[in-house]
Amino acid sequence: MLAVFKREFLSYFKNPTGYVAIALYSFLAGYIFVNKFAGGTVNLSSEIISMRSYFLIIVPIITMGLFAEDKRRGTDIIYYTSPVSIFSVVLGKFLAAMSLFFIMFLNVFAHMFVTASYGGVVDVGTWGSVIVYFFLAALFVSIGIFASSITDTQIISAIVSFVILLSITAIDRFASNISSSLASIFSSFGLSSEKVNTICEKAEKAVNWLNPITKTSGFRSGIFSVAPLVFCFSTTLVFLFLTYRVLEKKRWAQ
Amino acid sequence: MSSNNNIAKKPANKSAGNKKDQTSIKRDQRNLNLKLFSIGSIVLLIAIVLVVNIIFDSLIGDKLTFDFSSTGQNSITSVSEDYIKSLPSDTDIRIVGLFDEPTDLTGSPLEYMVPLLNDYQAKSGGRITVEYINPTTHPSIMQELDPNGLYDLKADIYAVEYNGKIKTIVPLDCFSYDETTYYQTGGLRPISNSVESRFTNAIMSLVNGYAGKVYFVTNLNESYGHLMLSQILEGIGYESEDLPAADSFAVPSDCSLLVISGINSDLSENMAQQIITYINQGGKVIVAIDFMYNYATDYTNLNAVLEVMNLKIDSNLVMEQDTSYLYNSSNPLESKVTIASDYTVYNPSVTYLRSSLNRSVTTAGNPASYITVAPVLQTSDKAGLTDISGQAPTIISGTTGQYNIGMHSEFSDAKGQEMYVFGTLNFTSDYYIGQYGTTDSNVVFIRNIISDMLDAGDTIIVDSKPIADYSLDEDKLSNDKSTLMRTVFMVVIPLAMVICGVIVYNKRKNL
Repeated sequence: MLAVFKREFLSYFKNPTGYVAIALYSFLAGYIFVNKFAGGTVNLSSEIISMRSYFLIIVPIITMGLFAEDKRRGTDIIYYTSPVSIFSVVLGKFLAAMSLFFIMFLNVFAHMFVTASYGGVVDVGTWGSVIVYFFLAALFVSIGIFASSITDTQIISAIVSFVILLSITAIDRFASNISSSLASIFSSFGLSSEKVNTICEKAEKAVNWLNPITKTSGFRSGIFSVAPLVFCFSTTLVFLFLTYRVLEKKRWAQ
Repeated sequence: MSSNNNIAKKPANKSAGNKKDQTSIKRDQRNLNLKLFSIGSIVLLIAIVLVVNIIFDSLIGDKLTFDFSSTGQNSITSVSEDYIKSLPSDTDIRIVGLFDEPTDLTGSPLEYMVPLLNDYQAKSGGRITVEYINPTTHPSIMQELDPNGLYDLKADIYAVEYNGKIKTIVPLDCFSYDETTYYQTGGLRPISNSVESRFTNAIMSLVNGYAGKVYFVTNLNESYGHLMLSQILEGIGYESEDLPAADSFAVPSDCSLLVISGINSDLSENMAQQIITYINQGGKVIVAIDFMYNYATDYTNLNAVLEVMNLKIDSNLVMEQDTSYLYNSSNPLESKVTIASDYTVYNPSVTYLRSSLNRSVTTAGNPASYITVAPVLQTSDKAGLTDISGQAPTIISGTTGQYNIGMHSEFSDAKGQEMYVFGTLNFTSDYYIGQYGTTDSNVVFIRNIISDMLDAGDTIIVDSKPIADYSLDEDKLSNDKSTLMRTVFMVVIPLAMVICGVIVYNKRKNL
């Protein structure tokens, strides 16, 4: 696994991908920070949680080539012939992407340093936001890796992961639409409007329960909850396992 | 021969074909098994993850939620927690937000309410439940909460219900706001958060009932509101109600205490007479008037009321000249005032209190033997009355001396008439209490005075919480530094990375 990790991590810096990702992240994170800094108030927890929206752009960039490129070149055969297990390959690539994420996040550590040196607040709530941000990053990177494993074209991989991530960030809207659709269906059965509303609200709540964005928004105001972290961690495992299964499929689906 | 050969070969081919078929079937079977195993393991893992998360969320999610905010805005204090846990375990208090449960709290007052109410529920041991029911989609909730239409229930507020009794809480009323910002821009900038205080007081008043009622005289151009003082009164078991100035003004018979705070217009003669009647019947009054430049009122009728208790409030501004009494040497209008020795019992931990825009309080030349008058708060002996007609306030010649900024008067008869008069609003106004919080020395002082006046006994006081302040040090900030940060974080670092990327690309493109 270490060998895979090392190879993948270094490969980010042997082509422009890693540099472009860092440059982009630095610019976007800097944009939020500098605007707050110029205004004289910097709420780092809020800044960090706001940066979740950048996953949509950054994650596809850093994960699109992880498996798709190997498949395109045909070098994915190594996964099946080398003595390392496929799950170790998946994990190695995942850790490489997360390490790149950590390097990008050094920008935010710099923001924290500047804020502290200008008399701003860097408290335990800020560190709580940093922790949840990495858990969210892990979840989104695992989705990106999964998207990369199901295709042999980097662009398609990037598009698939973008669409999945976009869908996740729009779960609340889907939930609302599902609720409206259910309302019209149940109304046609002659149920009372209050009963229909109750059912729809419960359905909306159930769909929204799957939304990692909503689950983690409390960290913005200093709430540190373990449940969202467990959710992100376990969902990350699911996507890594799905990736493993997609790759493993080649052994028997021919 | 050939036919014989064919006959001889046929069984061999058949046998080879069978083997091939069998291998193929075995392989298909193996692939099918692997496929089923793969799908099964994925479904199993997803099911396990869902179950684990649901169980975790519902069973221990609340217990593993911590408030890391610098102001403690998301969790209840031990005062509220202890009170709630002291209630019988079968107590059933229902807090209903009359709106949809919000999913995005950012920038809304609910950011300070929803997590805190979750904490109430989590720490109440089942005594408190919190729900969100939108009356637009569930109209029956109004009937369910208030079947007789006794309460002013409407959408977008919280209703706290206990045994059929209801207290309503409007989210925006749970904060005090910077009055300067409001007057300058019309915007609401919260400066303190009393959400916990409001809810705990509401629960207390529903469970324990009120010991009495305090009336605030209003509609006389008051400088500031009295919401914070009302909350303090609620904490000591007293309900508050406004008593607007009107031709038909009368002090209600259930008035335990009358507060006249921050009025900038004088009482009418009728109002003064009604208040005098109230005092003569054993009434208790607190008066607080400061010096506002725009309203340099003499308060003739108010002074007629005070005269009954041998007190008088002066029309001049008192300015402190002893620099050791000033908080800021450039602002002589805000100064320390000494607590008179008989009144240090109301806040033994301090010697001075903070006072601003002071008027002096004096005796009124009504030396009846049954009236006892005493100073409560005093300036240094270097203070003076001020002439504000010029560009800068100046001390009027010959007025230097010690002034009383607060005085107390009581009758010695059995009716218990009592009055405190303050020449500052630093004890009663939302502006002050909101800014300094309910643990401030001035606030503790006035709270203990009121408790003593009303004989309130044990009280539960939930302090207001400050609003988190993320400001940077203004002395260190400048436009140049903002530009520097913008250049470093948005230009230098990204550009350096792009250049590195281009160099790497050029060096490795032919490899």
